[in-house]
Amino acid sequence: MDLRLAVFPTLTEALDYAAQGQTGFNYYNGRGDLTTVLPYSELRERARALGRRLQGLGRGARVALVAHTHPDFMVMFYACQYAALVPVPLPAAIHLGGHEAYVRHLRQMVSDCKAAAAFATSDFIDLLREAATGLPVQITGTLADFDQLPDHAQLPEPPRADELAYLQYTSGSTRFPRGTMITQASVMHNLEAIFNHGFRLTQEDRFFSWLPYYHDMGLVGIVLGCMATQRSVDFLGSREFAMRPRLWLKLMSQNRATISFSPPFGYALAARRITPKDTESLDLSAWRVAGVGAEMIHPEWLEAFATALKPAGFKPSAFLPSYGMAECALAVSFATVGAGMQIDSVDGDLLSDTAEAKPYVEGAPTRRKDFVSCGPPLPGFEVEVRAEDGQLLPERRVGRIHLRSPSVMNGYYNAPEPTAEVLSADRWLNTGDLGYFANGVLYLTGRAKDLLIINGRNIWPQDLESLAELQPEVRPTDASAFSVSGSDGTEVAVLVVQVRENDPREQAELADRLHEAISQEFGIRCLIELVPPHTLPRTSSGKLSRRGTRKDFLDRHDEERIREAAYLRFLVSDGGRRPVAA
Amino acid sequence: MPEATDKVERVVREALKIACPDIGIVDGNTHLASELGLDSAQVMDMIMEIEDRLDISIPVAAIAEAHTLNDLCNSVRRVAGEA
Repeated sequence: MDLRLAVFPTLTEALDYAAQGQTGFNYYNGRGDLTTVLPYSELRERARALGRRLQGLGRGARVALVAHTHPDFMVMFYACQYAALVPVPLPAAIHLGGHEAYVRHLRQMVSDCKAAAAFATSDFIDLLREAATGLPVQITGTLADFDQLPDHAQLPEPPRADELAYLQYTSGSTRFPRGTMITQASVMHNLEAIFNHGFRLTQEDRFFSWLPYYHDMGLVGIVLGCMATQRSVDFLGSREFAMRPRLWLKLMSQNRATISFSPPFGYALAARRITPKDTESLDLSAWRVAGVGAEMIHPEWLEAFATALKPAGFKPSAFLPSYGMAECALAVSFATVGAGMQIDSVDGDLLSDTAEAKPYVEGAPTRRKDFVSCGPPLPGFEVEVRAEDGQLLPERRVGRIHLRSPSVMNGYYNAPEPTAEVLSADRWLNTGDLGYFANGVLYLTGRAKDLLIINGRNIWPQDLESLAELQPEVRPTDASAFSVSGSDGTEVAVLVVQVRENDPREQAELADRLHEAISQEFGIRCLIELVPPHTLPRTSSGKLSRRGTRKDFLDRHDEERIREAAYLRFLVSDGGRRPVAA
Repeated sequence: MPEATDKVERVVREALKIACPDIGIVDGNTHLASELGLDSAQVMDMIMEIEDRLDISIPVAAIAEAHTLNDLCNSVRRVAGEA
C-alpha cells in the first residue's frame, strides 16, 4: 500500500484509506503488557457501525468525550466523524482529593459546548454522570450504552471540508473554557504540512506516545496524524507514564519505534528515573525524531536526557524542537530534522533593556541568554513579529508573534468576544507568545499573555485568583497570580493575597485552605504570600497589574529566598522590600 | 486492629516516605496535598510504590476521594479487598 501523507480532504477519507492497510493502534498497560490491538481496518468498521447509531443526535451536534487513553475513545471519536458530529475531547486527569474540582471543570465544558451526548470509559463514567446532572445532555454513558441506541440503515453524508472536525478545550481557563473550533480543512492542512515538511515520514516509521488525548500534541499529532499517515502507534496511558516513565523507553526499545514527542518535562522526568542498569538493556538507536513542544524548551533538560540515554544509542540529533498551539490545530514550525537543538546565544542585558536579540560575543561583559530554534514556519503560514503598537518588527527584534494560515481555527465556540481578542477580521491570530526571527528561523522568548505553563499544562492566573477570592476573608481583586522561575528552570506558581487578618493561626489556616483548593484543582504546589491591604499595584485604570505584582514580589524576596520558600507553606510580608516572617 | 489493616497503612507510609524523603512524622488526618505540599509528580511516585508493593492497581476515582493519609489508606484497603 502506498504511503499517503495526510493528503485527504477530511478525516473520514483518511481513515477509509488507512483501513486498507495493516497498521493501527496498540495499547500497553502500566506493566508494559500489550492489552489491545486496534487496526485501522477494525477501527473504521466499528466507528461506522456506531456512527449509524449516533446520527440521531443531529448533524453537527457536540459529543463530549472524556479523553482517557483507551480504544473506546478512538471508536467514539471516529464514530462522531462518520456520523458528522463534533467530538469534544475533555481532560481525563484527577488530582489527589480532586473529585469536586474535576467534576466542576467537566461540567463547565459539557455545558459550554452544549453537548448533546457525553461519553466516558468505566473509570470516569461516574464522575461524568455527576458532572452532566441537570444539563440538557440526551445520553451520558460508556460505549456499551451508546451501542444500545437505535440503529439507522445508513450513515449520513460524510463531513464536508468546511464542517468542524472537533472542538478542543486546551486554551481556556477552568472558569471560562474556550473551545477552539477546527474544521476538517484546517486540521488536514496542518497535518499535511507537518508530515511532509515538518518531518517527512517513511514506511518504516512507527510512533510511540504517552501524550494525553485531550492535549493538541496527543490528539492532533498522534490520534489524527498517525491515522492520516497510516502509521502504527504504541500507546501508554499518561498516568502510567507519569508513574513509570521508564516504560516509555523500554517499549520504544522493544518495538524499535522511530518517533515520539514529549513536552520538555517528560524528558526531564525520564532522565531522573533512568539508572545505568536500565540503559544496558535498552536500544534506542532506531529513535530518529524525538519531538519537543508545548512549553518553553530548557536545553539543559534535554541534554540531561541525551547524556543518560547515550549508552542506549540515543542520538541528541534526534531532538526536534517545534512550536504550535491548539488555535492552529497543532504546529506552526519545526526545527531541522536530524540537526538536534540549535541554540542562538544573545546579549541578555541588551535583550532586557531594548528587546533586541543581538548575538552574544564570547567574553563580552554581558549576560548570555540562550534560545532554542523552532525552525522556519511551515508552508502555508505567514508569521509576523509585531511591536505593541502593531508595527512590523525586523529580524532580531522581540515582539508578539502573529500568524495567518488555513490551519487557524474558526474561533472559540460560542465566544465572540474572546475570539475577537485573538483573531482579527482578516484572520490574523495573535498568539500571545513573544519571540524573534533570525535568518528566517523563529525563536520563542516568552509570553505576552498572563499564562502559567507548569509541566506542559496551561494554567490561567485568573483561576488561581478566583480560588483565593472564594475564601471568606479574601475580597474580589485581593489576589494576584503569576509565575517565577525556580531553581532548575521550572515555572513556580505564586499567589499573592491581601489579607486584613493579623492572627498567625488564622493566616496559617487560610494558607492551608488555599493550598488544598489549588492542589485539588491543579495538582501543583503554589507559593502563597500574604500581604497587607493596598499592597497590590494597580494600573492607571484601577485594574490589578499581575506584571507589577510579580516585579514587586521579586523585589521583596531575593532568589535564594524564593527557592527556599518553594518548600515553605507560605510567606507573610509587610509589602515592603524585606519579609518580616515566614 | 487486624494485621491486614496494619500492612496497608505501613505500605502507604513507606510509599509516602519514598515519594517525599524529607517528610517528618505524619498524622493520619494530615492533608497530603495542602499540608505536606505533595505535588502531582510526588503523588504519582507514591501511588506507584503502593501499587508495586501490594500488587494492585489503584483506580483514578480512589485518588479523587483521598484528602488525608487515612482516606488514602481506606481507599487502598477497598481496592486490595481488605476493607
